[in-house]
Amino acid sequence: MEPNDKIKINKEKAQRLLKKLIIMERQNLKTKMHNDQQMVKLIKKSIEEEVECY
Amino acid sequence: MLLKSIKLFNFRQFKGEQEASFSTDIHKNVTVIMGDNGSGKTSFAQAFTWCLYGDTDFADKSMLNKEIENNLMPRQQVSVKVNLDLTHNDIEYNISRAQIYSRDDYGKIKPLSTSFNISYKKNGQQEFVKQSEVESRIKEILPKELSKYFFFDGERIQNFSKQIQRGKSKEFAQAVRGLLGLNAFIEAMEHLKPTSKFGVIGSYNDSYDSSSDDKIREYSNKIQKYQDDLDSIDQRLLQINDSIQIADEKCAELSNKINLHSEGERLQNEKKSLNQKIGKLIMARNQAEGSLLKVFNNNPTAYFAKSLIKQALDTLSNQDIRDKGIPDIHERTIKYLIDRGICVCGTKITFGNDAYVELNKALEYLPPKSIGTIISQFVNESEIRLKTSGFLYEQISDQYKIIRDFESDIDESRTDLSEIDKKLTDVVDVAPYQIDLHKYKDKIAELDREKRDLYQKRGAYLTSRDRLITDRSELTLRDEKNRKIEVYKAYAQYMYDELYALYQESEDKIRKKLENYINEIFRSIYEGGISLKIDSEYNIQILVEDTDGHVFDVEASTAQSLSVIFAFITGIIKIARENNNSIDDDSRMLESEPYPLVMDAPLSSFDKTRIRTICDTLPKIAEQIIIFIKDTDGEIAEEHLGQVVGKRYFFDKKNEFDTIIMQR
Amino acid sequence: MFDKEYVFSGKHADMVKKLTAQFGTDTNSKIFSRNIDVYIVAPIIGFLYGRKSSIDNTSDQTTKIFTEQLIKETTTLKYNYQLIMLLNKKQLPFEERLDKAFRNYGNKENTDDEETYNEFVLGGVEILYEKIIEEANMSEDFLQNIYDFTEEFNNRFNGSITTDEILDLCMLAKK
Repeated sequence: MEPNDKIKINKEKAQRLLKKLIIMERQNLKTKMHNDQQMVKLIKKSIEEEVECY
Repeated sequence: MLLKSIKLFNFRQFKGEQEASFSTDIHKNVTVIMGDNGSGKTSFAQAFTWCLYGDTDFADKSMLNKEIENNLMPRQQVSVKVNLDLTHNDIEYNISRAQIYSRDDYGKIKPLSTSFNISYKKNGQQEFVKQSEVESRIKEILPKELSKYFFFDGERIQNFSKQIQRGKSKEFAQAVRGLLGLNAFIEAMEHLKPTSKFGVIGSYNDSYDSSSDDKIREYSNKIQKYQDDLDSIDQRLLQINDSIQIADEKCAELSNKINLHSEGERLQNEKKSLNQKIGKLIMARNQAEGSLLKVFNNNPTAYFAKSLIKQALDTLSNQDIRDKGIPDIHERTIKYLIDRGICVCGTKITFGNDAYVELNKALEYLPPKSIGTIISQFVNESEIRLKTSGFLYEQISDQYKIIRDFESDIDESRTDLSEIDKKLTDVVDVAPYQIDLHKYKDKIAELDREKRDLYQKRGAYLTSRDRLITDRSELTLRDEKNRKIEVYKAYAQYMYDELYALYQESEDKIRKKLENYINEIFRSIYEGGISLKIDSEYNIQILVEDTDGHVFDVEASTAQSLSVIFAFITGIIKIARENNNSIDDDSRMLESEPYPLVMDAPLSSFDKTRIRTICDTLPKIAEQIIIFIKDTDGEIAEEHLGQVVGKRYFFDKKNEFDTIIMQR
Repeated sequence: MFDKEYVFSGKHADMVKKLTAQFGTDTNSKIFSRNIDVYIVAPIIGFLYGRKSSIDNTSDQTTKIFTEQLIKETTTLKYNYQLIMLLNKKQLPFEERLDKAFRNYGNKENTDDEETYNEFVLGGVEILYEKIIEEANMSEDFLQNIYDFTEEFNNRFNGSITTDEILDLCMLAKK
């Protein structure tokens, strides 16, 4: 676990991200559209998007 | 997953092309396949496993039908195929495996090429799964570790029950979790995992802008190195634990054997001391024998002549021995008189005259020639002999008894010895076991040492790593871009932590649920004071409650093992179905689909009542049931399952090499 | 008598050899230690069991007793001889038996008595051989036979005599 006490996280955003992630994963399990690498990319993208948003 | 149909080509007893399709009707979801032992039920069940995974439990790895094989000419080729149609995750798959055999120039049957394909319908078209991905697709459809529980080989249950109770691979636990609908969680956690180079966080670590600060890159590398080392330490620790577990089991096994056979050591020692005893006894006996013979040879005459001596003395004392002798006259006197020439009475004694003759005659009766003297001598002699005659008979008698006693002791000891020898032939020498036991104990000590070392290292690495991470994040915070990355990482970490906790919670819940279901199902089959517990690795413990409410571990009987496995699987299936059907948001997060149950003759181990209960419970729990039964079980199954049977087949065994699948 | 070498021959030689043979692992495991030990006891046995036997010439076997040994045992041998002569053939009047035992002992003309004595010797050898070696129950256990023989002997001949009785008789006879 990384110490990140200097950084503040918006819990609401984090929860939203979580739900989105699970849905994405579920979907992918069905469709098998993305491999692991691609999934990681997608996840990163959604995190960055959420963070930048207001 | 639902099975639609299976096609066999020359697969073992099933000559030519044979097929069966399975009932997928919601209400009549049971397919019954009847056949006697040897008609091919096990082969049929194995067809599924061969198709999906490419191997079977058969000792004979050749799948080719024997009749076809016999008729195969040199250089001729024939193929064995199994085609499986099924649906999984709303996708219709066709899974097909083929193996080509040929007879070579030397007359031997050789397997040639093999092909394995998975295709599915997409947009009306048939698409093939890439060869590089077929393995993982199969794993996703039904992992091999679990397949044994859905293609239920009831006859080989003993091994499985041991597996379930003693705990096997982590893979099994993972696979179960997958089935229970925790896959999305697992995937998400995999992707987020902070310690993985390829995960989200790892990827962020990599993407620190190196041009802004080389030092950060350096830190990242070092941190990763520590991480790699930590990973390999963890892996090695797992290995060590496994090895230790195996070694522990071996030690227990060997200790058991040694205890069983430590008899042997004891017996050997007994044998040794008996041999010593016998040696001593023999010596003693020989000594006694020597004594006896000595007695016998030591002046035996006196003893043997005792009665004669008595008689002689008797006679002598009773008889009036007329001693013709003249009192107090000795031979010397006569000789003197004869020499002198004149007798006491004055008569002249000359050689040859009357006086001479008479005097000489008298010599016969005078001492030392007088009979009285001689008899006295004789009597003295007798006295002496008697005194020394001792107790020959008593002594011999005593010694003889002693000898006989020794001999019977020797016999007894010899009998004991042969008893021991008999026992020893049954007993195995424990020395090699003890040597092995030492080896294993040494191994365990060694592994423990390694473990301790590794833990130390691990601790050190963790500290170093964490320190570096702190240092790095300090550095990065100074840089705008890198700071952003830190933020992203923080979110990812938070998500991971949340997921982890949620997952644990859900898994706990589900596992408890599973445990409850299993106990429910188990009790409905097997009443009476028995309950099951599932631990975090999905190992099952069978506990018996005694009348005081104490609970303890037991070894399961065959029927109990079967019931356990049956309950376990039906429990899993039940939960899987629930997850599918639930509209609860939380549960939707845990998604899974139903699985069928393909059961190969488990009924033979149960009694009739249990069969009834199982037949009642089954169809309510699994979406699809394909059940193989013997003729002898057939009627009962029909009786209780009749309503829910959608399709019926039976295996018509034409001969050893040819079974036909017939629809009824 | 008893002043020259004595030779057992024929079947008696065989018997004596067997009676003095080593039957066990120990060199001392012999029924009788030497030929002379057999010779001393045999006449008593022969006389008591009423068995006489003549010299057997059916085989070439011989075994002998050396003169020195005989001379050494003269006292015992003479005593046994006297005992037997005294008690042999109760039909003979006491006087004659006295003479045979005491007066005629050592006379060279005594060939009849000597022969009688020798016949008892050989008879005794046969009895000993039969009882100890050849026992009817085919027991190979010589010890058993020695014991059985001694027991039988004791019961038959010595059972009712105590040493004291005899010593008393001695006193009586000394008068």
